Amino acid sequence: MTLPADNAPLLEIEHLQVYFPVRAGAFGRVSGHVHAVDDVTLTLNEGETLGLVGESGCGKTTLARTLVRLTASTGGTIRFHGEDVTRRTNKQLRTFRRNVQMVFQDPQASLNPRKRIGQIVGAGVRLRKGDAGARPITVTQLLEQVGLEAEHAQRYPHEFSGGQRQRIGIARALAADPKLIILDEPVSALDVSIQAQVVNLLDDLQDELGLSYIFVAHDLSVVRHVSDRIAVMYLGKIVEISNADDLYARPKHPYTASLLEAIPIPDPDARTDRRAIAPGELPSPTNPPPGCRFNTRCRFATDLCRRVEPPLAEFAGGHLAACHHPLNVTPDEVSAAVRSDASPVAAGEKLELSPAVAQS
Amino acid sequence: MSEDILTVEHLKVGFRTERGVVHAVDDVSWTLRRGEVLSVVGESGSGKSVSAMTLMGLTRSNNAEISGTATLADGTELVGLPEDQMRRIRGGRISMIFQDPMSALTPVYRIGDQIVEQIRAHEKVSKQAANARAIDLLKRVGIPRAEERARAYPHQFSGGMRQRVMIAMALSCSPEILIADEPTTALDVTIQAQILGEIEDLRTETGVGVLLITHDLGVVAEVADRVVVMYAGRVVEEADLRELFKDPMHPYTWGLLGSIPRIDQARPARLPTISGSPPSLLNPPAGCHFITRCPHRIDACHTEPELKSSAIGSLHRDRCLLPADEKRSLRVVNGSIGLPAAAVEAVPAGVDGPEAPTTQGSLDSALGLDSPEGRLS
Repeated sequence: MTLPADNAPLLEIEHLQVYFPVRAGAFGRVSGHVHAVDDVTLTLNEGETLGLVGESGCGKTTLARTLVRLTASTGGTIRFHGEDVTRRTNKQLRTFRRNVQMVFQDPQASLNPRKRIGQIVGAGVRLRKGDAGARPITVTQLLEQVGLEAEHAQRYPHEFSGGQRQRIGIARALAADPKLIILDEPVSALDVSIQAQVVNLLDDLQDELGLSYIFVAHDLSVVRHVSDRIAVMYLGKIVEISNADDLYARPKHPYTASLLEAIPIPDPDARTDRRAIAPGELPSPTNPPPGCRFNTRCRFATDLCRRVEPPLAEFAGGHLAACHHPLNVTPDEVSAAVRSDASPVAAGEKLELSPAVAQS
Repeated sequence: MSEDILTVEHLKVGFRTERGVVHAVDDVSWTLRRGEVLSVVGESGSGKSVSAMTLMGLTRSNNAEISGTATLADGTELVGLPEDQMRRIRGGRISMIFQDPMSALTPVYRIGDQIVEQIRAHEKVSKQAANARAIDLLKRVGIPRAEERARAYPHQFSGGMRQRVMIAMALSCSPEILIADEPTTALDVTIQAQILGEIEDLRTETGVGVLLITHDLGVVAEVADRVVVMYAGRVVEEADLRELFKDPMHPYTWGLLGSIPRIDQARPARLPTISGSPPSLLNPPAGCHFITRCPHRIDACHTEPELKSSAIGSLHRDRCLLPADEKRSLRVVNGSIGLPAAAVEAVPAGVDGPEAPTTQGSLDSALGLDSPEGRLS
């Protein structure tokens, strides 16, 4: 193992690909591939929260699982502290696994019903003991850190409510003294009032422990609260990455814009007809449309969009968008934009940006 | 527009369990009018789904105790209606759409056949006529190539399309009342917008009364005309849509409104929350059910407050005994409606254990149901 390079970002993902074979017929012949994650490039700095959003089937959960190597990648590299972890054996991954922990959507399904909370959280504490770099801690301290009590260690998962179970899931992740926690829809199964409690807890823990988060969610309103930067995925590709405020104020990709428009606003005065936005449904990830993958649902799609996959254009402030006809940009911003190195390999060689015009 | 088509009065549903009676629905009353969307809002275990299922006769079991009345426009009493008569009403005069369309459709029959079956269960029509109507219905809810898709199986549809099929099926016998239980919770936002649009159109075109059960106040603001807020088995507030959002009178409603992260406003440093969690329905606190979490509670809250008009002669009702003027100043936290972050840790009432082990869980087992509130992704 090499020493971590100084100043390297915490996590660097380059051209990551995860394809799943689709088998058909009696002999299990591979008839195609599901392009779950298709050439994704991302970086995450220490102490940062990256929100990863998109609809069902966009590949966000596959990406999250691949980052902790629960799913194998088919191409590209993942570097943690500058060190390539894509092709290491499980034994070599021990420190990496301690450093990168995961919290799942369904706390009911991800906690062993036959184990006491003390045992569940304690497993991570033991992992920490075997590693010289980790700070010592007890199960009691961990439970208190997430707002539970010491005597809860003697109880079983079914004795807790959904919100408490998610706190246990967080305590278990913290037990290993991680640097990065991947949160896969951590609050989607919870009621709003409980959701806010868990989000605030995650916020506090980040301040206290200097953690980095990757927060995977379909709910753009929750993501905005926790994220420094947000990446939007559509059909296996990153379509837009930007700092959180800029993304909500001036979305550049039409898909991001329609996601934002589709969120119902809890204010009767804001009632609008939302049926016009993003009609149709997600195309098949086995046979994605050529060119821009959103072209089948986009009201600005032109012939160019159907032929050439748009590269990621980098606008001022590091705002990336993979669109030939970006929204909310001035002509000056367009001429200053450059093709980002994070662009997929198959994308067009040069930027061909022009203003968005609604097509009939 | 103001014709009452369903009147629920003093509805109570309890389930006897080994540990005592779970009071899932505790004296609930409301009215649904023709052509209106009445939304019942509440968190898991508030009794919103159980009350709707009771109307459909779906909570009848040996351990259930049901009392009160639920009366249709023609005087038909739903509570205690014999099963053979209930079957004619269910799917005929009242239809229901569920959260998870996959588990509400039979995986082994074609979509078209399932709709035909429902039509022919209620009306004497030929197979051909029923089939033609099924295809019309599928077209009506926006399913492309309806003739062809009618021959497909549920697994060949996406989540959004399955929910459209459910709506088509619910409409098949031109019901007076449509109960939609979390119809868009399992769907993506762009698809949710499409389905809400469908429900909206339907109501204007057919005049069906819609009872929309949801936990999402965003969805409520989008489609509802009137709102009933439930908490721990009771109605805590009832008002017209605008009044509920602009002039909410119950602290629980303030907390709900305050804890929604909003994209149309600047983001606060911390999300406002409602501290604690809902009480156990086995042993709810005496008096106001919200007392354990309410930062504005006073001694008088230990006696049960009535659901009463918020102003003289107003249809806006709430179950909080504080004077209206005081409420209007209490509910403003940092410039918007919410609950103050004041610690209400000392829980005085009979909550079993440090926090009630999911009332929803005990309800589900009492009912023999499994309906996860979880949103699929």
